[in-house]
Parts: sequence; C-alpha cells; structure tokens
Amino acid sequence: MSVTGLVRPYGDTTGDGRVQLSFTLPVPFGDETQRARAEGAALQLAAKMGLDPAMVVHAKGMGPDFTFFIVYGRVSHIVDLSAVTVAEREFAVLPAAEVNLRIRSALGRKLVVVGACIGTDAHTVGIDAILNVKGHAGEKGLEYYREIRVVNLGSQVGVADLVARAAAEHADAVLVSQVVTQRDAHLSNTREMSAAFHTGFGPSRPLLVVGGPRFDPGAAHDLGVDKIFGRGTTPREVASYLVHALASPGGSGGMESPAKRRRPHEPSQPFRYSAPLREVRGRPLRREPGGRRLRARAVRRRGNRGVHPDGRRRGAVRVLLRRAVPRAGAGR
Amino acid sequence: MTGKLNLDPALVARARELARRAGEPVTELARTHTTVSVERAVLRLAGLDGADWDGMPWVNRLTDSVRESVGLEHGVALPVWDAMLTGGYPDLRTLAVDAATGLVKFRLPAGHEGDAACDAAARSVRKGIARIDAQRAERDRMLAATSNPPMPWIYLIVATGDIYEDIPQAQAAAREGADVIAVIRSTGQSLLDYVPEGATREGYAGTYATQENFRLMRAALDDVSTELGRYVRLTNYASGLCMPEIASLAGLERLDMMLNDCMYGIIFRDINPVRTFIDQRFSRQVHARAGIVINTGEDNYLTTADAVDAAHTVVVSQLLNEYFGREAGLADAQLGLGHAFEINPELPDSFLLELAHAQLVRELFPEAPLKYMPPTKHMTGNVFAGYLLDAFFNLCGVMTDQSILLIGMMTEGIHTPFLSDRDLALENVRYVRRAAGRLGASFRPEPDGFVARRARQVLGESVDLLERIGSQGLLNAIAEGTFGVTKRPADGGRGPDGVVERAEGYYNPASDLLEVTS
Repeated sequence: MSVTGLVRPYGDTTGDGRVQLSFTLPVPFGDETQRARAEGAALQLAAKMGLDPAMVVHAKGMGPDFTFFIVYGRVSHIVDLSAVTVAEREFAVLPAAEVNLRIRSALGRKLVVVGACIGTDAHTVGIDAILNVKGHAGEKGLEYYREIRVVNLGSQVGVADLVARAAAEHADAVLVSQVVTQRDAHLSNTREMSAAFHTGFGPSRPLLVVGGPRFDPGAAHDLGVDKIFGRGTTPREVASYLVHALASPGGSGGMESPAKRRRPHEPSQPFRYSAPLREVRGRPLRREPGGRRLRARAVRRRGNRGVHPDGRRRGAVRVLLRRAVPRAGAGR
Repeated sequence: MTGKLNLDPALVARARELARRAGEPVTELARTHTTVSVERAVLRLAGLDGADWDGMPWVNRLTDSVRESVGLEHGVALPVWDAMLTGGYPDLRTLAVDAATGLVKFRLPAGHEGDAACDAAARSVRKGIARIDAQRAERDRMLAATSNPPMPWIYLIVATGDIYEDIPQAQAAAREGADVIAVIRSTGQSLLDYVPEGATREGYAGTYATQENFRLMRAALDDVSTELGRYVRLTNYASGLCMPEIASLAGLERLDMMLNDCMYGIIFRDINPVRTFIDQRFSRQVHARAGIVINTGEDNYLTTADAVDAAHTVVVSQLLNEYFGREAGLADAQLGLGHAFEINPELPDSFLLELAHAQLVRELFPEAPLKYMPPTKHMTGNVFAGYLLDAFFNLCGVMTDQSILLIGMMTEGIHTPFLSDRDLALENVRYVRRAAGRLGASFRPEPDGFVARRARQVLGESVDLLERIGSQGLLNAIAEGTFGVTKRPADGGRGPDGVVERAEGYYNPASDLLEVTS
C-alpha cells in the first residue's frame, strides 16, 4: 500500500471502512421500550460519528441508569495519508533498560541527579513522583533506574544549599520542582536558581531541569534552564531527556569534557545575580510541624493572613466542607 | 488444607524462625522508641481532633508544643494531662489552642501529680479505645444483620479525589458486586507529616484519608450494605509518616481493612526505616484491637523487579509481615498478606509459575486472608489481551483459593477505570467463579512436577535470603538494598527527626491498653 494516498479502515475487505466502537450512555436498559430507546440512542451517536450503516451488536444495562454498547459500523471518512503530520519529538522516550544501557555505555558510571523543591514550596508531590521508586502514572521513578543515582533533597531547599550539594555530589543534572505560583514565585525562584548555578559553576554547570504545573514549556531559555516539564510528565520522559542531553553517543551530550557539554540556552546576557534578601531556609513553612517553633510569637488571627510571605493558604488540602452528614447507624 | 506441594515442614518452620530472628531486634527498637505520630495518635484516641485555621491539626500543634518545652522522651501524655489538671482545662482542644500561643508551661510531673496525670490520661484514652471496641461490635452486628460475603472477596478501587464523587461510585461498585471498596489516597499523602482534616474535594489521583472522609464513606457503605443484605467492607491506607494516627482513625470510624506493610514506606516512599518500624507496631496494635484486616504490599516488589527472579522476596516479606503482625497482636485471620500476578506473559509456562507462587503462599499461610493483586506491569494497552490476562489471573485466584481478589481492569495503566471497564471486569470474575470455582478442590499438581518443584525452589531461595538477612540484621539488609532496588540506610529517608528514644518513666496509656490484649 502506498504511503501517500487515501485509505479507509480495513475489516475484511479493502476499503470496507469497518470499525468497532464501545461506549456507555447514561440511559436505562430496563423494559422493552427502554431497550429500544437505548439502542436507538447508540445508533444516533454512531451515525453522528460517521458510522453508516452501524449495528449495535451488544447492549447491556449497568445498574439502573447506564447502558454499555458495542457497535460495529462502516465509516464514511477517508484518511488522507499525505496530510498526516508527525510531531517531531526533541528526544525519544526510551524503556528503562535502554536508559540504563545508554548511560553505562556513554558515561561508564552512574548518572547523578540531585532533586529538590526550592523556595518555600513544600509540595514535594511532583519531585517525588519523578524520583521515588513508586513513581507516577504506572511508571517507576528515577530511583528505579540502576544507572541513575538520585539524591532527593526534599522541600524548602535554599538555592545556596542546592548549588553546594550539586557540587558535592558531582551532579550531572539538577531537577527542581515548583508548584506554588503565588506572585510568580515559581519564575523568580527558578531564575534565582539558574543564576546561582551559572555563577557557581560557569559553563560546566549541571543540566538544569525544572518542572511544575504552571510553567510554560517554551520558557526554558528565558529562565536560564535547559528544560521545562509541565503537568503530566512521567519519570520515563525525564529519564529519556536526561539520556538525550547527557549520554547520547556522539550527540549533544558527552560528559568526558564538561566544557563540551551542550549549552543551548546560554543566555547572551548573563543574569544579574542578586542575592536573595533573606536566606530561603530562614522562612519555614507554617504547615511544617516544628517549623512553628520559629514563628510562634503572637496569636495569629484570620485577619493576619497577609503576614505570611506568600500571603496564601498553603498545602494541598483545603477543608471545603464540614457538612453535617448522618452518623453511621443514625435513623435506622 | 492439606499440602499439594510437598513442602518440607521443617523448612517452613525454619523460615518462620529466621523471620522471627530477623524481626526481633526491630521489635525491641519499637518497644524502646516512640515517634511524633505515635504520640499524636494517643491524643487522637483521647478525642483531640480539628485543626487550626491554617489546616494544621491540633494534635500536631500540641505535640510540637510539648516537644519544644519538655521533649517527647516521656511521651506526650504526662505533660499534657498534667497541664490539663493544673490549668483546669475543660478539654484538650482548649489546651492545644493555648499551648500553640505559648500560654502553657509544660512540665514532667512526679509523685502524686504524676500519678494523677497518668490516671487522667488513661481515662481519656480509654474512651477512644472503648469507641474502637464499640465499632468492632457494631461491625459484628452489621455482619449479623446483613451477611458476610463468601471468599474470595471482590475488591474494587475508587479514586476521584472528591469524597462526594467517591461515595456514589463506591455505592455503584458495591451494587455491581464489590465486597470491598478501597479509596485510593491522594498521591503523596504518605509523605505528609499530618493528617488533613475534614471532608476533602480535591486530591491528586486519589482522595485524602481524613477522619471525616472515613466517616462519610463508612456511613454510605452501611446504607448500601443494608440495601443489599451484604456487608460491604471499606479499606484505606495506614502507611506513610502518619501511619499510627490513620490506624487510630480507621479504628474509630470502623474501617474494615487497612493497607499496612512493614517495609513498603521504607522501600518505595523513602521513609526512615526506624520510624516506619516503630509506627507500624503501634498501628498494628490498633488494628488488632479494632478487628481490622491488614493488607500487606508485597505486590510492589513484583512491579519493580522481575516477578520470577524476585518471587522469593515476596515470601520473605510475607514472613516478616506475619512475624511483625502476630507480635503486635494480630490474629492470622487479620493478616491479608499480599502477592501479585505479574509474570511476563511472553514467558513459557508463565501461568504454571503463577500457580506455583500462588499455591506456595496459600500453603505457607493457610489461615491468612491472602490478597491477590492483578497484572499491571504487563498490561500493554491492548485491552483485549489484557482482558484475557485478567481472566487467567482470576482463574489462578480461584484455583489456589485466594481470599481477596483485587479486580483487574483491562484498561489498567490507560485511565482511571470507566464504568464499563469495571462492569466488564466483574463479568470476567463472575464467569471464572461460576465456571471454575470448585477447580481448586480438584487441582493436584504432580508431586514432583513443574509447579511443585518451582514452589519448593522459591521456598528454598526465601530461606537462603532470610539466612543472609539474619546474619547482617534487617536494618542493614534494607540499607544494602536487599528489598526492591534501592538502598535505604537506617538513618536516611524522611522523618527520622520524628523518632525519639523513650526515657525511664515513659508513659503511653494507649500502648499500655493495647499491649495488654496482645
């Protein structure tokens, strides 16, 4: 079959256009009338999806309110292969074994990743989902990769500490997670972090990777980092990117000489690194048990909320309702 | 059950003995230390709940206040109830509010005053324990009024993040045939060093475990149990940094099963090993008292390592979980030891290997309500092949007499299950039960055939591994990466600063009450 050209789905004859489909509609499947209505509803959906003719081959009630359908039909649509565009990925997503193999052959040692949440951000959900063995979305975290050594510094890590630790661990890459975005804290924290690495390491700085739900993935250059990952990133994507950037044979990476390391986003104008006004560590989160110690002075009331550096309620949970609901056993 | 695998009873006894020897030093550690979460659990049992306006629970605030002024070496009970008596506080909440603002001077009372504080603390905590006992009796009453479903119990998961969405989903699942409902927790809750408060409507890939959420869900399942004439059990997770507190809340709110593994948090969540072992002992004492069945997490070993190569690590972990569980007072019928159907289906004889592993576990732990987990690692997105694999999982489950079957979804790893995915999954297990439910009774592997030999090989490897652990100590073995793929040193991980060595005169009324029964 030609690569360019027009095709239809293939059931058992070229061009027959036959497909299968299953879905649920919130319609009851009880008595005769309801069943007929339900099947009619399924056929209507199939017709609107371009299946003509369509046949409901299976319908089953699920509870009193839902019906599950399996439908076969012929689609009228034609696929134009010449109009198919394939999004070019910057890097291929590799299986774990391949990641390990490439690191071993390109570096001959483990790849060292230092991860942290910086600033006052205590949301380690993101960095933990990427680093912990448990992982995320059915994928194991970077700790699972035999050839990656993970140093997870946890939350509220000061930039200076992060730089020092990255140097001490000979980090190949630094992963930073930022969830709190109040007053664009994630952007200023990231700039401060990248500036500190530029200043501290010069051109041989480790690869800088940040992640968080509110970053614009295209803003890496602007923020002085190498890569930004957004919401829904899986550990395997991060591992594959690290391999792409740091352990590609003859590619852009090449760890034998730090000076040769790819510096695609070296800003033309170096960042003006202004030291943070306060040591970041000195501002423990109110939520952090024990952190209280340092700020247990006056009574804080609701009206005092703005006092907090971030001026917002923190934490992943908000108590929205304390609605009265009958206790177990009540009313029986 | 008579053995089908010709296991050597002497070798089985040796395996148990080695597990006991590996576990004993760790138990000693748990007897001589406490943690912030254990102390907070004491306050929760004494009835302190709620949180400050910032959402930080009062148990955390009060425990922190005590720790700052007199330390936790003597436990939280002595200084707290001493302050209650000397300050004339009407309840713990009022004390906690004052303590948070620095108005309370804590001290370690001695003599009469010490005795008075102990008595007051014991009285308060006894009320919580009495409520746990009452909930246990209420479960028995519900079981008598409805009915106890026959095993294997069908275990289904809900996880919307919003408790008010979870409730109708859980009720629908129960009506479709689920015997056990598990509410998956929000990602990362195990790493929070406090238990969120109140009903919650947002979570990451799961719903926060809170006392209010527990209560709401149990009440909803009670309604549906009455409607169906069949008691529907509720499950949550007693793991992570707040394991003892969540165990206590589960007892107070009549949860029926709790995920509670002796090493899961260490290996997969990088929680400090010492803290985990201390916390799990207290949690299991509470579970024992509450009549809660624990579910252990051995399936996780197989999702990270090869299910054939790592089969023996599952057995070793089960033996350790059994030792720690029994030591804490759990009956065998409360030990829902876990394992999973995770062998690569491309492998020749993969089903025979699964049968061997499942039967081995069944024979090693004849009284335990084993929890069998469906394939996840080799679910590829080909939902049709996945459906077939789930059918084989169900078949293996009924053939080897597993007790709790977590129902596999053909869309595993694609999305949270659709309504129809769940319905199809239940149709699958119902068919297998109907068609082959009694196959187990007729299933006799050849005495020296492939299945029996494989089972004996895994047992042998387990004993070898336990010998190695025994010679180096459990904490060292964990530090050197014996379990899973990561090394977890005893002083590493999250929450080591929450561990406190007990001083002479340490007083914990909850431990005292719970220890008596074990």
